[in-house]
Amino acid sequence: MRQERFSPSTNVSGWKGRQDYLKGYPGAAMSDALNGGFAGGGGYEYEDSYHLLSRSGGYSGMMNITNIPQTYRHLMLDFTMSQQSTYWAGTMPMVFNSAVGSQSFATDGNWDGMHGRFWGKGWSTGNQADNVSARDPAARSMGGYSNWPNSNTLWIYNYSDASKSLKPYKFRSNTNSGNASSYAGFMEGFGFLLKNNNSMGGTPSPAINTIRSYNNYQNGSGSYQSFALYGFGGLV
Amino acid sequence: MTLQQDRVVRFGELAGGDIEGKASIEFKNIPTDFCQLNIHIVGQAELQTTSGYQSPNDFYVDVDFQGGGAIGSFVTAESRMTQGNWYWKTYTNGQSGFGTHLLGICNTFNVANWGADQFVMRYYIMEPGSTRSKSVQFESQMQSTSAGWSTQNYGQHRLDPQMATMNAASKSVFDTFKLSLRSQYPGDPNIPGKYNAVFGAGSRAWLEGWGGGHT
Repeated sequence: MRQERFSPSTNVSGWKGRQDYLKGYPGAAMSDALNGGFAGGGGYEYEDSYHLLSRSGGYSGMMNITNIPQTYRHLMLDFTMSQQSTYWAGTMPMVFNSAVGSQSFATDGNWDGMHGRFWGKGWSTGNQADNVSARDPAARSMGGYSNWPNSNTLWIYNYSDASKSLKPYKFRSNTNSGNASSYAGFMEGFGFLLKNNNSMGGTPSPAINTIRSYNNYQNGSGSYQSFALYGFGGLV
Repeated sequence: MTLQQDRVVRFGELAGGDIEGKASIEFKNIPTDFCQLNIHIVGQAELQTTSGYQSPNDFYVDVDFQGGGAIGSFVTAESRMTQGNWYWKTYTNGQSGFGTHLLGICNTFNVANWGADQFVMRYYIMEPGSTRSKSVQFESQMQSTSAGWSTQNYGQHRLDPQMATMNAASKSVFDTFKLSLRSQYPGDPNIPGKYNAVFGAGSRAWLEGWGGGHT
């Protein structure tokens, strides 16, 4: 008796994708699987995810990622960010498809920007929260000071699809000053990108090909700042 | 394509007619030998009504695993930030056979006014093929058309043969997941004030396996 036929969910590591997929479904045809017979949708055919699109071992000034490949459905960006000027580690806007040195979205008629909210809490900096709409970005990062540790992750869904109005993002961010100051903090947020702010007409927002950060100091050190950009969730 | 321990794979995507306009989605016979299984859902929320009456509603998520009460019960714990409050509110409730949490506030009615009320959900479970006690973690975010209506949730659904019994091992692997949307006032959309909650245009759900050969 072939064990996997009678307990199909116990071990798939030895299967070979589509070829062996039906071992779990005796008497079934692959066309049924691909037409939603099992999962309600596409069959269980594996595709590698989290492909590294770009990385920087160290970048100076502000983050400036351009020409993002439009090859995956979703983006995940891990990064560290800091400035060399002050203990007051602050929030740094993240803007998409904008010009260098801008802290707001482009006025190119392609969109009105974001619609979202962020929440933050710091030991000395207290609580902060804001709803953001129009061209003021709600996606933020919690920048650090010099080599103080900080960690940021930003996800953008459907980033490469210019035909969809569905384009949400989320981020999570934290910074820590150790015992050098009391400006440790945590922040997170969620929102979406719209062509027509507050419009429910469903007008698609443009594909995202540039991610930039903004802060007033613009003097982050390449010794302490880095990023890794991944595509995930499947090829388009 | 043998699944190795050092791979992350995506599979089982539901899109288009498999999810749009539907109130629930379900994955069955999910492979279980991953180190961690993720279930991703990104979408727009819609309240269907044919009565012409339109009022924003709380939008809830109901999940059940392994066919609901078949293997026991679930305890749901939920932490929430919502509607302009910077602070966390914590909720705990016991549910038999399913788990529920608030997703956010929906303000989109019918196909004619797509475009907003967008959300992201992620469910994840460690070692779904083991017989050890398991819990499914979730996080969800939703931003409504109205600026102040933002909700983030984090929580757990515990999979136990006996509800709230400590140290009880699960009797079953985790290979079935069903998620349904529910409005605050569900029912016949022909009746004013009653709404069907469904996935809107562009919604998408998929599975993600981290590692392989893990039991």
